[in-house]
Amino acid sequence: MENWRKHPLVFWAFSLPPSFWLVFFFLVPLTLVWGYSFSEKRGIIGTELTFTLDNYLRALEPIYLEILWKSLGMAAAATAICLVVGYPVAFAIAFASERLKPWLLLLVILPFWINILIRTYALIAVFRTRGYANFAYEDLWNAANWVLNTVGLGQLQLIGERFEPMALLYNNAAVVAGIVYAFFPFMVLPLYANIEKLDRSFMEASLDLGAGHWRTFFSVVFPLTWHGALSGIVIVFIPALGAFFIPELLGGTDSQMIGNVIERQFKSANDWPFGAALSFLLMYATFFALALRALVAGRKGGGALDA
Amino acid sequence: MSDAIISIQGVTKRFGEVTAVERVDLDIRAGEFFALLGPSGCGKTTLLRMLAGFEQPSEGRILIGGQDMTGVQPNHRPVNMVFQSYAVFPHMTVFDNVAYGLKVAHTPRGEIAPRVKEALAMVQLSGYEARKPDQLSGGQRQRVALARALVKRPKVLLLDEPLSALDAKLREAMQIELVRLQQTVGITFVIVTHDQDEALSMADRIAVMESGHVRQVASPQTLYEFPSGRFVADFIGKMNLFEGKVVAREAAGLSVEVEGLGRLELPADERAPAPGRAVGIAVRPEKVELTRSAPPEGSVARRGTVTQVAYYGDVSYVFLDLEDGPALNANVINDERAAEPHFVKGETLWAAWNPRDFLVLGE
Repeated sequence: MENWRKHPLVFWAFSLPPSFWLVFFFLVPLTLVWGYSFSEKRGIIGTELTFTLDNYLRALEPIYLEILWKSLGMAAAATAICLVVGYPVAFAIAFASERLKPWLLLLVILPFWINILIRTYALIAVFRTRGYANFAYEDLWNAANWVLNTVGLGQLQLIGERFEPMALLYNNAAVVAGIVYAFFPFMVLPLYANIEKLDRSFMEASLDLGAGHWRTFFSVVFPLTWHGALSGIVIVFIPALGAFFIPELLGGTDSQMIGNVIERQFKSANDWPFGAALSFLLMYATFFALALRALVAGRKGGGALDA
Repeated sequence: MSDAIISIQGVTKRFGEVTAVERVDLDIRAGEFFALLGPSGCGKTTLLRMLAGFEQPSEGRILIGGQDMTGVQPNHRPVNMVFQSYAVFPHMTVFDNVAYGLKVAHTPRGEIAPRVKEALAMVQLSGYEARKPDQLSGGQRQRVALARALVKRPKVLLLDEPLSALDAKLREAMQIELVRLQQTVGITFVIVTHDQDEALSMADRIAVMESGHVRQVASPQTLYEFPSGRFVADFIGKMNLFEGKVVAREAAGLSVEVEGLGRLELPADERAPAPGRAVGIAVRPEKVELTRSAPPEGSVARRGTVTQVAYYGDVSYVFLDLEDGPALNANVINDERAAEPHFVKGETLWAAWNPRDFLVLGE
């Protein structure tokens, strides 16, 4: 890449717009928010930069730490589900016929064409008491009840006297499900890219040497596609940790995540300095996760990729 | 055949519309070095993959060690394979690669290390146990793949184009080493190759394949000197092929009218087509003798002009245009040290054959 040295004009023409964008729409706002996190509130809308650490100290109070831990737990659970479900899906797509493959990939990407807020509302229609999940469950229950009555076991009430809809909405499980639903493609795509690249003969060699399919997966496929899994984990976990409207729409009273707390500081609580401090704590956690990933990738990377 | 370790019986393999292998019957004997030879797309790799169990025959069946392999998964077959890409696991050390097949088979712990050591010694990789594949050369990686398969002590070792990724010198050395290895371990080797030199120099027997069919199964020498048909004659080695017509086919001899060569009287050949039918007459370049003076009585001789001489060191390929039209290729062994070429372009020479060296090829 020596060319741009010879043509500095071309280099600047191409690099100025993105540099401008990065500086004015990313670095500058970020610095402003960083400044807020060391500021104090003055009046209703005013803040003053006093280099105070009070906002951070407050953010580390147990009540907020507890919410942060819970957010980490829910984001981790959602990421784990994405990983476990994502592998078979990515596998199926990678091994599908060339004719079918683009359509399957389209199915994975298709939800992106609809606004995430609308998709989350759609989940409410599925999970609520009179929602589609419960309709299906009710049909199943009625069918089972009919069978039991027909074979003369009706009076035993093995499945309860009346149909009781499941409480699927407004709890932590609903939030995790919503996060999984929103970010699942981010797990499948990097996994697919890695499995697709994987030389099939590695799997065949493993089978040929006497290993079964499970052994082949855990001893050969997983270690060789771990990179894709790692990428998927990071790009699912980070937005999952910052989720705020998913817990707001699908969660119950005790399902708020750290994103909700931050949002509240900037809106109803009108405490920008504290919201900024919380945001930066979250960002440090994210940086830590990214650094960890880079470390692991750097150590394991060479061999797996070069061969 | 009772000593067949592999018996391929009426095997056909179709991929959708394409028939990759068609009604192949083949017996491979225990302990032999067997080669499947053919141009790319002839079905040889598909046949090998069916032996390994990665593909199932559409029709017919395969017996290995007398057992029907229909529906038997690759991990339950008594064969092991050396892949064209070697497929040495990049995330494992050499030791772990070789030990993998033993570990998954629950070989007793104490037995694994000595067997790995023995296998690595066999392929001359002792001391490389702790290396990762990316610290090995291509040739060494291939030895790991060999050791990894041999350590399982399979009934049959399958090799898919094992030498195609190596450079010429290493390939030649590996050819000799594979034969030595096969003789040491006594395991049946089945090798797939498109390289006839490889097949001729290594194999005890060769099956020549073309568009899904096995054209001939024979020893290298039989294939070369007595090819069964035009494809094998043309595919193996170099060949001068002339078109002709049978004039008479009698116990005393065969009489053929050949384009550009005229009437030829050949030894009797009961496999030759009936009189009046078209026939191919072929002769290997090294069986043609080039002389400046008229050749002795009894040989078939024609005059021709040298159009090109290709010098290969040990041998020179001389290309001639015969007086009556056809081109002819003759090989001249450079068995005497000389500063000047033996024959030069533009020279007019006698080309002579012994009638017994002609091959008569039917349709």
